[in-house]
Amino acid sequence: MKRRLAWLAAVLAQLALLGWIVASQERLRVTGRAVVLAIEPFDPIDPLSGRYLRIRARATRIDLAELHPGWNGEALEQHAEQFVGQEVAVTLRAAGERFEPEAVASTAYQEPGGSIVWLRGRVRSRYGAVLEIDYGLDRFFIPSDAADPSALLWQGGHELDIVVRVAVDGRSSIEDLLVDGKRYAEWNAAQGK
Amino acid sequence: MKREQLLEAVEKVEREGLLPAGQGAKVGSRLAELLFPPRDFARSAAAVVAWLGGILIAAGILSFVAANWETIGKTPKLALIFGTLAGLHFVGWRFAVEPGRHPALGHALIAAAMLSFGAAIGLVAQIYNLSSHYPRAILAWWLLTLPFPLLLQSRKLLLIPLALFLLWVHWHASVWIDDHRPSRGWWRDSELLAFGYLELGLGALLAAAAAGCRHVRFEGFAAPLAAIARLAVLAGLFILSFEDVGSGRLVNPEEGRRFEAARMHDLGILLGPAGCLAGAALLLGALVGVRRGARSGAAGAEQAPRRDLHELTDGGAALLAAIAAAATLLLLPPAAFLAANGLLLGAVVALVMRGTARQRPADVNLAVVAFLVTVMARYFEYVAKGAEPVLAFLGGGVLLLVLGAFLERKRRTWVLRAAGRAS
Repeated sequence: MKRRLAWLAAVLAQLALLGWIVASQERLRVTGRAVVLAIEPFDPIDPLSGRYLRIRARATRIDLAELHPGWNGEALEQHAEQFVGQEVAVTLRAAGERFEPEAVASTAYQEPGGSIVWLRGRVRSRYGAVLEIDYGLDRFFIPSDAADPSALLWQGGHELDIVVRVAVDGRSSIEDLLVDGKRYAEWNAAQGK
Repeated sequence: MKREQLLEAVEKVEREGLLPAGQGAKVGSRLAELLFPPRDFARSAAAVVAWLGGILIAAGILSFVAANWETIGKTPKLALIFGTLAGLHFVGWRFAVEPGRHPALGHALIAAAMLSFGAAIGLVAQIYNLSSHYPRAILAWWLLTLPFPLLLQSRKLLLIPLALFLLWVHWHASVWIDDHRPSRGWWRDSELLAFGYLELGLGALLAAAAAGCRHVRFEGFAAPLAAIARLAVLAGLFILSFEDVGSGRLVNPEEGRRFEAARMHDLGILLGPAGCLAGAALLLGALVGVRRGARSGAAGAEQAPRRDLHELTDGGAALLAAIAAAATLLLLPPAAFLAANGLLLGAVVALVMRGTARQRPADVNLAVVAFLVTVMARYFEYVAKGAEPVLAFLGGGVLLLVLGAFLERKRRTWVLRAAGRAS
């Protein structure tokens, strides 16, 4: 009886972990604000974990020189160095239909308020005054037989974006990929016609 | 000990008058019956077939996840994976435990369920486009599958979380090192050094875990854990034994810069993952030691279990090797690889001696393989480097033939001695 309960607890722990991930992601999709971020060219696939497009949102690479135009190079590099390895809040501002980074600050002291759209990320490295930030927004899974839109970026004249759900605490999750403004499923269906 | 040896020993005891005349054959045959029950090959074959079935089911589920069929919506996919996971666990439990009429089939289904849990994590990540910098999915996978082999006390099932644990440790350490690697440019190859030390820490931790399994209900887990611990320690020393491993400035700093703050910082990063594992090994070893102490105190000193001290000794030796290798790297950097070679040779000799003393041929064979691999590595590192390929291969071949001839004689003697048959 004791062993049966322990077994049940072990199975429930597995199901609870999966359920928790599903529930938190569903909650984020329902309550999070949808923002559109421009993305840069990406690698195609990794067959081991299913087919996915490796994505790099432009917001993952922030040049502090653009955010602080009046600063000299040394001051910018010192400022960038203090962020390396830190969790940061990247505040976004609307620029047309998309959102782009407006400011970077460490979350160690204060987090932006709920009225501001911001992404929670971790600075992995820096090159000069350019920060490489990891938001966990780097994979968009596609069906094994679906069309790969990455080639469009090399042809020019096309735009690729991701739709991201952002919670008030900065957590984010990719909801969809937009190819020239169309949702991925819609664009993919049109490729077969 | 084999059946024939047992029967010979009983005959000897009878000749010495310790058994009544004529009873030797009966006692021998009964003891052989108890100690060497006939192997049920049909049952073993059934188990292998069932396990293959379980693995294929798991592979099918993983392929299903990888295919990411567009025609199946999110909710049916989730229902399918949750249902399959729960179903496999339920059916596995029924076959293996309650009522447990088909334990081999039950274990195979539980193995399929354990592997499917990874597929389930992958599917949820796929549906919500999730990714993680550190391999948290593998961490969750091994942690949450570990209870099943513990509950069933199944050595085969233990291999699944154990393999996942090893994968997680190496992957996590790799990401950690990459994140903390200084951008000063004199690091690069030193990652290999970090993994050399990591293997030593891992060996110590697994040896402590093996010691912890002795004399409790997990006795069966001690042997595989101890075997992997020995392999990890030998692999770690092997990696550290290359002179080329590590970049010049970290291993051979300029004069007067041995204790420079930047070098200390980099060495800290280099040894960080191994240090964490060594700390965990020390903690676990101390807990096992305290438990042993309490048990032997209660049972009387003369009844203290000695066999279970082997793994603690292994763990302690791995820790000492790691400390010695790290101290040489710190104090006498150019001699670090020499120290590793010396430690490796010491480990080989210790394994042969212990294998023959404790009658464990597997230790002797492992030591022989480690010695052969090390000699060949040194040959290609120093002798064959820069030589014409023809000469390098010919030299390697001659070296192997000579070693083979030497080992053919010595290994046989050692193994026979280890098996308790040599005079």
